[in-house]
Amino acid sequence: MPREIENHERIIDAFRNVDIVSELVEKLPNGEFRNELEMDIILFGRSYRANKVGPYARLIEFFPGEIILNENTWASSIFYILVKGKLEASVSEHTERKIVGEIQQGNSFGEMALLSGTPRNATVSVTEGTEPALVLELTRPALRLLRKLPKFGKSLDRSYRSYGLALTLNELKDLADVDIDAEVIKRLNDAARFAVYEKDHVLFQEGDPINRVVFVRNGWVQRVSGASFIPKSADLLLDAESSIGIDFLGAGSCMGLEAIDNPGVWTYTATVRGRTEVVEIAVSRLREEKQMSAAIVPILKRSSNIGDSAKPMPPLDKRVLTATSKEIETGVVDGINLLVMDMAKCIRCGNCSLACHKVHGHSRLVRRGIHIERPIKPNSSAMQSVLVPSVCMHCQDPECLTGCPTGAIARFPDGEIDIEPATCIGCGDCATQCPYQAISMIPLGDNAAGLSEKGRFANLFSVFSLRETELPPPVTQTENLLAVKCNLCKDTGMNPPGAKQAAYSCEENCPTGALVRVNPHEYFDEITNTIGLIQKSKTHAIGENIHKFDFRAMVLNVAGTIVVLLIGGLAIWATYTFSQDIALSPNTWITMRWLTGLTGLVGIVWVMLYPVRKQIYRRRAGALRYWMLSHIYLGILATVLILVHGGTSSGGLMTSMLMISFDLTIATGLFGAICYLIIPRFMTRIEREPLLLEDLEMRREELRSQLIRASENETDAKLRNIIRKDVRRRFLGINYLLRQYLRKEDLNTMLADARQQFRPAAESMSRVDEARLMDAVESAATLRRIDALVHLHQLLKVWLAPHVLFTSIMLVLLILHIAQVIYFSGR
Amino acid sequence: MSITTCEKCGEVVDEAKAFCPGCGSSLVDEEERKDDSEFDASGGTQEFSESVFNVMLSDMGLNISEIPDRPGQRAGDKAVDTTPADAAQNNAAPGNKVPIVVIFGILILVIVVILLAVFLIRK
Repeated sequence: MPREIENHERIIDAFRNVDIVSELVEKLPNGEFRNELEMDIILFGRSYRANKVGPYARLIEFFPGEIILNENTWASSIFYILVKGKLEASVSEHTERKIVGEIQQGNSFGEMALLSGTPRNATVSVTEGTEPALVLELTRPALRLLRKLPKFGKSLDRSYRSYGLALTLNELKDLADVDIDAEVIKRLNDAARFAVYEKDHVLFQEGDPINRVVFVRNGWVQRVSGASFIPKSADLLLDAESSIGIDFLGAGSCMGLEAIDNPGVWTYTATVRGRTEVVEIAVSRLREEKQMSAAIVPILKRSSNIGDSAKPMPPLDKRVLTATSKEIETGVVDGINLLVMDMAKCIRCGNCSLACHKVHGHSRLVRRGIHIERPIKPNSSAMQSVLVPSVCMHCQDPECLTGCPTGAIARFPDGEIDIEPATCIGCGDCATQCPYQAISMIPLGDNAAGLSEKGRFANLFSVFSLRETELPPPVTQTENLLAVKCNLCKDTGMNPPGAKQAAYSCEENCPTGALVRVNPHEYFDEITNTIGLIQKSKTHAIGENIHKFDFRAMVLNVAGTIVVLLIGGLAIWATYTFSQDIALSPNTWITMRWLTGLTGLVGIVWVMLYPVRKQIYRRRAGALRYWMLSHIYLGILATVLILVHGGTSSGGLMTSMLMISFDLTIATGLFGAICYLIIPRFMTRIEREPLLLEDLEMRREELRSQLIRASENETDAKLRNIIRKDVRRRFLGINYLLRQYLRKEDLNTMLADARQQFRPAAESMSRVDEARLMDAVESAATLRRIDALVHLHQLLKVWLAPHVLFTSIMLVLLILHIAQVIYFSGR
Repeated sequence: MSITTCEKCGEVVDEAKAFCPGCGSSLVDEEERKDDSEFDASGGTQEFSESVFNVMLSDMGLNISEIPDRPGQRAGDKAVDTTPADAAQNNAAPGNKVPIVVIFGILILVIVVILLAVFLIRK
């Protein structure tokens, strides 16, 4: 077992004996420590608002054979420095371990996984038969403070570059699937350099001589040809200039190979889009060293999915380019586990947020975020509207981790980024850093965030409740907070120990399958086409890509249709053939009425299990979308059977009431199903950018006030009259509302047309009045667009109240009917 | 092993290296561009031509071809017609028509079956 050494003097000595961090404990001539504050925090910790910050370092003694860090694990918030002893690095090869190197005393290790956001690529252990090793274990916050020390900063940069280069060459070697001579690898190592570029860095410009072959290890590069004067905004020119070519290259792509044989200039400008790691190989070396060139160039070509001298071509479909650009620019493609919502399927019920709240005590899912419109296929007229909500996507290179003073937020062994509540001091630094607003602050010790939790009995009756879900109160306090974020439902009932596949409460509780967790590299086709072979996705949590093909849903749809038609048809045929109340065979009491009644009852019982399932949020109970499909199909089947069961006679008052309530239940249910199918698609085409009902209602109030203010303007009677009579009549009438649904035009186009209609009236006005009139026109036209969307939102909910009401009546009457039947049968 | 010194950071480096391990700068002769690129010549700024500017305006929904010709009141001549109004409408997502039609068809079929059943039974 490793042993932690807590003696302060020994810890200080350990730092003093390691050259790269010795500056931390360096003393001034007067005996004081030069970096006392940093040293104090790193070595011993300090108090911050009654919470302890640090220490970030531990001195640990490991014994021979003991493993310090494991290959392919994600626990990459820690790195190490070897103070004394002998360590070896090994990798698994087939079933054996192969030693790949030795860690030198005074060197750091494990920091690369931390910096690059990748899993550990080797196992480090103490060499057998040697003395115990003394190792300094440092957490991520220490790195931030230590980087300020010149020696450590320089050493870190150097080892990062050398490690990155070695890692890339190893990856290429693996890709080659053949042994590359060690001498070739060494020469390649000499001829190349590893570099990291930030967003918008121009790698080279069109017309520059090709001096280096550039291999993209990680990140994204945009190539633009034919627009050297305006490379960053070349997409603006695409409509006007047909010779401009634009595309994106992802990891595994290689540029400049054509220059090895034919010296020349770049035919395009390459700009980095997002943090990008590249390996640059000097072309002169590749020309001089034929053996090296012959070994490496075929591998680079094989990895890259672009041709030798391919230059970007004009896009076949500009919408694909726009979508790709947005996916890359916003960084959603670099998520490890991305939540996406297909807005044409989303019925805006909010069950995903509610499920999140139920599991975690507060919702970590906000249905606002990045919106991407993409053609389903290039040049297809069908578009998919995808919302990437503000939920943690577990970025490969997470910004939230960089500033945490306590290291509470970290990447955990399975790759998910989570916050350790015991260590979080609620400073909010991670929430500020996160570019996607995916981290929220909640009051400490108030996990329920103000929502009342009901008992089991109350939950049972909530099946019939029509009350709007209670919203948690806003957080107003600024102290005693805790940062919370999506942790992929780890350590919850959704993922009990031993579960083979991950399950997420939001995805499991989406009734239509609109919301899924996906690997962005697989989900966005346009991105898949830009990455080379070396791009690995094994670390990505793979979601079912059900927006393209959901096999289970398809089976349920086909089976449901067949069952309804088959059993329904059979019941009708049998009743027509054998009559209602005559026993099917002489020795039995079973008639078609009994048979259809009992089968219909089974159907109704199953249908009623759906609202029961809806109440189960905290553990796995089968994806709600499949329950919904069975609810609909068995509901339809039960309808047919019960109608056949009822036959031509409506019976007494109670059975008549039962049939009527049953018919109304089915009618409202079918209306709801149709609403769920049509309205989201319709709404998506009108709204474009997804909007929450609350946002729409708020905006509606704003526009109404603006319009009222404009029509109460007392300076100009003519303008007032035009706004009161013409503008309001023109835009606030039923015709303009219907226009929203019928034309489904883009808002900008609609506003341009609206302005145009009042242009003649504005001709004779002063500039100020003209502007006021146009403002009023825009407010009124936009208000009608918002009205149209609000009505659609309401339509998605309006059927539910009568459906639940008639279901409740039907169930009561059904129980009475069953009791009546049992009573009369027994008598 | 022959050595050289990096001109940028002063590090002593093995001559076999093409790049300095300390600072990453190139140690081999690399051809340099002799002329300024168009982008560099513009001082790193981007100059929009009239057509680009018009495209931007029309992207913002401003139908510049419709601006009334009132000299002295507004700047600019009559612009070329670059309005994307129709294009935008053509690009508008028509949605997944086929699946809806199929689903509707199935639903209507089911309703017809139900009505037929009621009709046949009550006959």
